[in-house]
Amino acid sequence: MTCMLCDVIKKGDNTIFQNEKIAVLLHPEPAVKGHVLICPIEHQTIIEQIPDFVISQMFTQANKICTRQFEALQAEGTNVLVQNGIPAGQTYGHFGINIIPRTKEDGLNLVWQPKQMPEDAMNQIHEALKKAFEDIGNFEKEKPKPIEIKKEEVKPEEDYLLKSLKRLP
Amino acid sequence: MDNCIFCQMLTGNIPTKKVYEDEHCIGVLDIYPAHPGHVILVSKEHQTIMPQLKDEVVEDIAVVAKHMSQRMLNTLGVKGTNIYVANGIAAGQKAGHVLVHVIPRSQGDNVMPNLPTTKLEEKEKMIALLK
Repeated sequence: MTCMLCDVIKKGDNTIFQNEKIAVLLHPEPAVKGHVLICPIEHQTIIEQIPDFVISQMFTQANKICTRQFEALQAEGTNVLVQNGIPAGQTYGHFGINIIPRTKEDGLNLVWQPKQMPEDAMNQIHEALKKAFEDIGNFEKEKPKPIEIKKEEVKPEEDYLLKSLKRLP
Repeated sequence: MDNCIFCQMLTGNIPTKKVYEDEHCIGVLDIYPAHPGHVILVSKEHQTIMPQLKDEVVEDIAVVAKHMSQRMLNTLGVKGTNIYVANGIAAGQKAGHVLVHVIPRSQGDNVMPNLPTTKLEEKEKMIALLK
């Protein structure tokens, strides 16, 4: 499968920071100058596929990038935006967190039109989500690496003795 | 903080439709949602922007947002979600308290326009600045 972001990660010349799980990249098609994308190195499409401890790392890195955008790019604000799924504006088939430096005059508009919902519809959703979120918790930490146990090599001498033993009537 | 409405929500002085709580945050329904089911995660510690939060708080909120997204897809029959944070007025922040929005999305709901795209320039300079 060809994935533009997998290629960008592999090529490495957009990379600001990388460890074994995540890559912090200059967005290949930035909304504004200094737009950063934080991706899992392993190709995954939506947030639900990514382990909890990797998501945690991605967001703490997002915070660091926000600070750099404030300090080094003189951003007046920053947006952290996840577009999870095509209806949410996702354009690549590889998950990413957008970190967008903002100024008052940049012309970007990410603010939605607030809606007023009837009280009974709000109550219905309240009950449904409260129930759905009941089991959130006990997050997955990084799995410990398996301990490697080296097989003891059979010494030729022992092997010889064993063979001799088998030959006995 | 006394004059922060989100801190008042945390203490219960302002009523909310709470859907989640742990040691670092609460999740409440946004009363003026972008889309039905829009949840805001409110940090228990009063801070204005996300970079001021401790790593352990950010880690918790991030994973809670992930799990909420997953359950929204299953429960509300939506086909996508946004996780959105605005740090600073220039970024569209309206409250004086860090909020992480988890917004269910359906095709054609017009919640947020697509991000514009430009050509990436001055790569090396930008990388050096952001490192």
